[in-house]
Amino acid sequence: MKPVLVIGGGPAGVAAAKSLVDKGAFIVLVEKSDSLGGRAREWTCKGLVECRNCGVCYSIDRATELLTAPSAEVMLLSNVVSAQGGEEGYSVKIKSSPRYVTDDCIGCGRCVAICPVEGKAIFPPTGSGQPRIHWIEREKCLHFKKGKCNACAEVCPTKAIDYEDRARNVTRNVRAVVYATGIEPVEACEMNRLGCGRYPNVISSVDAERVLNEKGRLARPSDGKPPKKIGVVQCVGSRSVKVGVEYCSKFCCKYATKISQLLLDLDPEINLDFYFMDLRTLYEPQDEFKTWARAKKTVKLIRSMPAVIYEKPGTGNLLVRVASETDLDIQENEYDLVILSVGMRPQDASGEVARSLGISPDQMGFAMTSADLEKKRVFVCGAVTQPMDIEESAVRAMAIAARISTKEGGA
Amino acid sequence: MKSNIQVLLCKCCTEMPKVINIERLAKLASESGNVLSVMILDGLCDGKELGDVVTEAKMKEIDRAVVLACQKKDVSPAVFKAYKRAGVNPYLVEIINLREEVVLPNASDKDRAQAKAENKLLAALARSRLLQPLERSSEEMKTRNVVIVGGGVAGQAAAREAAKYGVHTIILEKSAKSIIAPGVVMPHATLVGGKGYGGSFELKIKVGESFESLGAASVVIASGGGWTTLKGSLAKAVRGAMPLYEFHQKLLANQIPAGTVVFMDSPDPAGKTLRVQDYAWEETLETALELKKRRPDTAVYVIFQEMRATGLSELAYKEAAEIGVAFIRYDKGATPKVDPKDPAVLTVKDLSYGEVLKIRLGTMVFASIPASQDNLVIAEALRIPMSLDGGIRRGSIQRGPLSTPKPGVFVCGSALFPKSREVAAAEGQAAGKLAGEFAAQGVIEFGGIVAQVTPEKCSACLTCIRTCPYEAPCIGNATKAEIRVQACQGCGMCVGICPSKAIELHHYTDEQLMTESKTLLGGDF
Repeated sequence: MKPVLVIGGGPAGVAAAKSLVDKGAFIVLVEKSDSLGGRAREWTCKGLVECRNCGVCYSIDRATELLTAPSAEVMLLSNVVSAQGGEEGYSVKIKSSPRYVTDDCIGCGRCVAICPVEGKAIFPPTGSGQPRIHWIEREKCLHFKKGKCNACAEVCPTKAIDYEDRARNVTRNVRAVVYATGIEPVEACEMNRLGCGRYPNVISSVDAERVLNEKGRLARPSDGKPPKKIGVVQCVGSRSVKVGVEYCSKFCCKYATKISQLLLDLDPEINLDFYFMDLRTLYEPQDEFKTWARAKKTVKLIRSMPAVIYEKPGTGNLLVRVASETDLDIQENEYDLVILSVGMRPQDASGEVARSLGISPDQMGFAMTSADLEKKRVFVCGAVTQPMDIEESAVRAMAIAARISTKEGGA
Repeated sequence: MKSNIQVLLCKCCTEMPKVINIERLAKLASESGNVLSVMILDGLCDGKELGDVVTEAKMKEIDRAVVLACQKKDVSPAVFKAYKRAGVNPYLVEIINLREEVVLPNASDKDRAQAKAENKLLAALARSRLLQPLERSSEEMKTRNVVIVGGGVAGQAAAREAAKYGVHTIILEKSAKSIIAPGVVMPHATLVGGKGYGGSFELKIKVGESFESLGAASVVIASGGGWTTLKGSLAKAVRGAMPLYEFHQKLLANQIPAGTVVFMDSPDPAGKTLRVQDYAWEETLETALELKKRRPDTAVYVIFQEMRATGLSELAYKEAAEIGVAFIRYDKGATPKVDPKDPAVLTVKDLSYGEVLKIRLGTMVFASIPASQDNLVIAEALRIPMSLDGGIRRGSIQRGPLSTPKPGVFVCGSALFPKSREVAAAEGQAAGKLAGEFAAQGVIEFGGIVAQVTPEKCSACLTCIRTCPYEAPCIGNATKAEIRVQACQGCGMCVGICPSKAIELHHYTDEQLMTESKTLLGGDF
């Protein structure tokens, strides 16, 4: 039987692919980045003391399982160029960029250390992405630019560097398409009053997750010291007419509250102020985080949006100017580090491939799904349809996998 | 039993040697008792050096191993596979997460990191010497039934999906409504009791007035929400109170009485069980919008503690505010009150402006959707935990979404918290898939890390039976407690609570744990 094409290797994509593989279907998964796992790759496990049900491990684990499944063809660094067809199946052209590193890579990182290019031309897989194989960016690599550098190939203990790797154009005939391209964070610097990009110690929640995932601890970017007083600001870029993201990104409250709890677990002496408009912790009763914060003497919940953030000269510390919650006094609070919880916007919901599959974006840019579309065997799933967290993406992906097999009379 | 230990030290590529002296660790390991082989590896995660490990293990007749590497799940599959080839019992392979427990946190203090690493190595060796090999076994399932509790949107979707796996689906529906779903549909049937474990449940069900028993391999809970229920002190006190669902029906039928309409989050605002989930808000806002569009002159208020208009329902929130729906946030400390003399006047303190408002009510609608009343019985029957507000509590996501702490029991739809039809159907499909897959396996695997009773010490006090969340202990023929290994999940609760210390958890015996912790704390004391 013809395989099912899954576009996107994030939480929804891998969950759908894994469910399909479990049912005995063949799948072709096309992921444009270097590894599977999607946004979850750069997110950290929030459970230091106990599992906080953030769901990050769920998608990484499914990605790992998928890579060893014989009936799954995973194409990384690849893009769908065109898709043609209809109800009876699609003919899909896929372009795979060369990786220049073979499966023999053991991820030792010696090649990255020795690469003479500034900013490096060979990279490890993003975050906790799977598989753990490095890759070379052709545009930066001196071997391709000048034709003489072989530093990484010489140092590689397993001879995994393959400069002869070529781009491939392949065509696959598939019986259904699962479209799960996911979301991307809003650039925090679009809100320039909050000092992102201008002050090193203002970081976005995505950066904070990435650093916690890689290093296990947060440090001030300016001097590397562990922060003792942290401000967390919610709804940066989301619920904002100015940025164009008028909706609520839904899961930021969930992740920001869990990150705050993780930071306190890591260092109980941290003072943490949590600025928010409405506390929308998914699934958990809304009082749970409030109760936790009340029990910790060092955590303050402030229902107010900071107006402006600027740096205290000479110290790298940040002053957050904010109206107080009860009266309209203006306060200035000083922090070592400020984390901005950025909103999310859909990724690739419009564009040529989406159009040729019949997917159209709604007024907010999310891909619309409909019964007609599913009749044509195009299934849109995950956060590209509306904001959702990993758990909901996984559930919906499983449901979609169930629907696909139905239409083939069981598989 | 011999104990020939092999120690693997993974450099984690280049990370470990930057902080700790691997050679010193290797020397320490090789000088310890029972250690026959010490190997330093570049990177375990890819499994390319494991061939040499297997050869060495076979040559030196290794039967247990201590591996110092990184996160367990990154290295464990390959390592376990390799040691299986070498004939080593998987329970005798100890993996220590040196990277995240020692190297990363102590990167700035090399002496401390070295001392900690050495300490951990010695403790792991001490424990390894005491470990016993364990085996897992399997059992055929006696039945292929998938029992679905509740025949609503989620339940029907679950039945349709599970049926694809070739299992028998049985829907227990408490009302008499007609349900189109594959398998058996039992009207007027409720789940009242049960025992057993994943793969072999024996459920007690009430059909009409009679009780019957029913075998099941897996169970899906789709008990739904109490859409038409209205409970709480404020709902009783106020005139014209109705639940959101009823109001919505009346609005569509144009039967709303004239006068101000107030939407409020919960009829029990000071209570702990504030069940106002995101979907309830979505519905409330849509309803308020619809009302305002149909009757622009009606004054509409929405009173809330926390506006949870998540995702795209934020747009409805914005639109409602723009067309003149008034939003009032109150504090849990100063909840809205009704004048006992005139139950049509609501007093509420608006937090945003600090004013006290008096609203003359026409209709008061409560958004809160309580959990199904049946959840308590279901949870007790299957012995699964409930959430604070009366729903079924979902298990850890590590077990997968829609799981409960009990293997073989899945939960979907509004049994967790209120959901739209669409989401409930999707969850039903997913839960049906999981339950169908579980039942279609046909065999249950069990054993390994399980508890065991020493009959001589047991006084049959029943403490373990009351404590166990999985119903593993029972009183056997010799009037002593016995553990049903099929049900035991190795949580160790009975071990901790047994007053006569008659129960022991394999792989975590007192001796093993005490030796390990003593070594960690620096030898005997």
